[in-house]
Amino acid sequence: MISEQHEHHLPYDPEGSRLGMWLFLFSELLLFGGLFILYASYLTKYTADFVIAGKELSRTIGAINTIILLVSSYFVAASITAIRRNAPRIAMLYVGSAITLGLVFLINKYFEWGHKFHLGIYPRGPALEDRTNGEVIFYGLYYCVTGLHGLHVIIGGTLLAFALYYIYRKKITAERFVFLENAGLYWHLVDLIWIFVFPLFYLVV
Amino acid sequence: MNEQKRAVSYLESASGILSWLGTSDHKRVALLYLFAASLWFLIATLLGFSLRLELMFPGKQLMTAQTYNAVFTLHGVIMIFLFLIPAIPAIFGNFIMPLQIGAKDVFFPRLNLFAWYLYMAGGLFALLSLFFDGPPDTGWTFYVPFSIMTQTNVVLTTTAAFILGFSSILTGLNFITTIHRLRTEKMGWLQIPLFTWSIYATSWVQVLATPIIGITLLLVILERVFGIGLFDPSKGGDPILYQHLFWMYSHPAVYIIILPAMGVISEIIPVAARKSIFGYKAIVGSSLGIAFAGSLVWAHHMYTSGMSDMAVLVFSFLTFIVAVPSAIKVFNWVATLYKGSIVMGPPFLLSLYFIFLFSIGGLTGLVLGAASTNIHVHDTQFVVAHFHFVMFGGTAFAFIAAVYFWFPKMFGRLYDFKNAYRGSTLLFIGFCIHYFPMFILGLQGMPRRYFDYVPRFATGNFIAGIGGMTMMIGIFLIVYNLWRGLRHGERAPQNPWGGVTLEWMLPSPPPTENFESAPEVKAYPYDFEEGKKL
Amino acid sequence: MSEKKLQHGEHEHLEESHISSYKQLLLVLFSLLVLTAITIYSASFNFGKANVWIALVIASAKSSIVVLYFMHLRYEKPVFKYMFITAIMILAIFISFIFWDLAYRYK
Repeated sequence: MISEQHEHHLPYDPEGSRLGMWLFLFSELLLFGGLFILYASYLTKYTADFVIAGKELSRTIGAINTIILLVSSYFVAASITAIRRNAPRIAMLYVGSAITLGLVFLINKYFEWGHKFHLGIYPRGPALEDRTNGEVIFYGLYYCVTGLHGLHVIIGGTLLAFALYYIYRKKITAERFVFLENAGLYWHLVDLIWIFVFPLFYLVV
Repeated sequence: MNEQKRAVSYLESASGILSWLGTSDHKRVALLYLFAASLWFLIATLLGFSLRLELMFPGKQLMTAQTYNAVFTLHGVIMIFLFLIPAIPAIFGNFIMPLQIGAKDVFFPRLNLFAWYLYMAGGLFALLSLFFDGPPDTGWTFYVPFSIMTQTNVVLTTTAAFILGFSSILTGLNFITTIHRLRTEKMGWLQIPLFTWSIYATSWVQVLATPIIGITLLLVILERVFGIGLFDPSKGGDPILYQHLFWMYSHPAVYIIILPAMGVISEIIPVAARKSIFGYKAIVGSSLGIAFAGSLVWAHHMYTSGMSDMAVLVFSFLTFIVAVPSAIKVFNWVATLYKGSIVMGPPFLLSLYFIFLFSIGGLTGLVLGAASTNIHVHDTQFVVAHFHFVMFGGTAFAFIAAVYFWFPKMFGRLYDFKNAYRGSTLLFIGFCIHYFPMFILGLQGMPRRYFDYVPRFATGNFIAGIGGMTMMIGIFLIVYNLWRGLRHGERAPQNPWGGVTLEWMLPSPPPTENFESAPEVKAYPYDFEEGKKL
Repeated sequence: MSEKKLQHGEHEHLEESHISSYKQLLLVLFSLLVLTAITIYSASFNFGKANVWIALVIASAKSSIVVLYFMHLRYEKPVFKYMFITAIMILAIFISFIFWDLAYRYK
């Protein structure tokens, strides 16, 4: 991806590289899609319980995290503009900002989960024993979805960190930047998933 | 047709085990898969044979009921995830597809090798499940709530399946990108050979459907480890939801299993008939149609699960639709043979066996797809017979056909044809004797996944056992014959079958870089006259 | 300027495609933030079952903007767009068809 395939002298084909990345993103979409299928099913079955449990999630943190990811997506998209306009240091600044925002997101998540753990609200936790089935399922889904999402934030952040490094080492340039594009695409996926997670878990009415 | 300076073949271009384990040559990756997948096939076959021996007589023969459950689970998991799903795509898709489109390699060669390592890792996890708490006894379907409660190695096996799924996804996206971007310039979409088309359609199913089972099995693991409760009825979970999610992948998975096999047959039939394939566009369309329609019908595995009557109705109706594109292919193969100048050869014999056995499998699929008949035969031996006809009589026979067809190209050697006929025919006869009785046993009410049975089923099971033994002899002969061909076979010519697709324009075996200059592309891929070249 | 011919018909595909301006990207971000505000605001009313659908419509609008502009799909070749639609369609089929069962069982 970063250079041409030396072994077979295949020519540099960033569009093909991007195509491969999009295909991988489709598989990620379907992966989370399975969780959304479960959410849709159980929301139908346990609507009232979902509302009750959903109210216990902090809309403030959820909204802040949403804004964080949206802004970080902006930075990632802008970094491509920057590198293509021959401003690698600005590109690095933008990528670095996106990574930082990702870290803040994860820290927020850590506190969110921590707060719930403290209250005993976790699978097999004491507080869930007395709750209704629907509420237990809500939290089960909550932890699975946000947990898997958080893992993808980490992966995406790692990819961006590599991109940052490669820009610094001039391996990503105005002419060859498909690695940054692909890392960016992955990051946007992370943002996309959260765009759905936020209303479905934090804004249940 | 002759090369002045003979380029070194890919087999000789580098030596030593590291040159294989670190290769990025698609042809070597294909052989890595061939070696591993063949081993898994043989292991799973032995497991299956032990099941048949156990069932040959009433009462306990070789194993306890618990062992029986573990053996049929492993047999299914290995056959499906380690052989049927990967084999034809990862072996022949890898080796032949780039050649057919005139490419030097796949688009992501190192990702290709990585996918093989994932495949090996998945196999390793499956092996590990033999230890500690023992292999799972849930069946390869891992239905909840039992899979959540049983004290066997469900986590290890589902992890294996997860890793294997990831390998499948990466291979799929690699192939799609390759077919889009690395086709030789003059080859348009309607000049692509049918095997490559089948790989293309299959790859889409791999990319889009596999993640569903990925998340489903992950949730089973999380449920066992953390008690999340999404499928546990005592916590409000719905076990039928598990079945929905499981079959959302596993039904399309059977199309991952069969589409490449059909692609192989579509290559062999025109070559054997010396005549271009009847209805090339219809076969292309039906391949894509099967891939798409296959995503609409999953709940036909669930008619008796307790889901709503409306769902039973709708999915039964949709299932009839997906039979149509499959039938189109069978008509087209037979129509190709009509008035052709047929030349017999081992690939063609296997293709005939395939058409016969797959048709029976497909027709019995309609019995299962129709909800009214399904409720009588669900979870009986009828189902077992049906899927063995399509998966074994279908895909595995097509796999052998593919080996027979492309062996000379891949290894530069020929194998003994007469022994190939003998072994294959023994396998075919044994297959029929083994599996036909199961249809009857199923209709008579013998359940599947039962370690023992009531006395009235004894005759059918005994006959099936005879068939099983015959099959094992046939398989042994086939493998032995190929092995001898590999070691001592005479050198194969460049084009032993007179094929006209691009892989036959290369030496046997091909050089590492495949084509030195852009190959000539026919206006039509199965042009057996000296047709118009582009 | 764009393509170098290498061996037998291979081309180097250097980028000559659209570059999103900062202004366009900021506009996209602003729209996303506005839509986010709308979705939060709409959740303060109880429309019953409609709430989920409103949220999904807004989320779909936001995702479309991200996909088209941040992910640049708007400026890619048609084949990328067809592929994306295919993937979405399959997901849509999976989600909706399960309701042939659930809509009649989960009363």
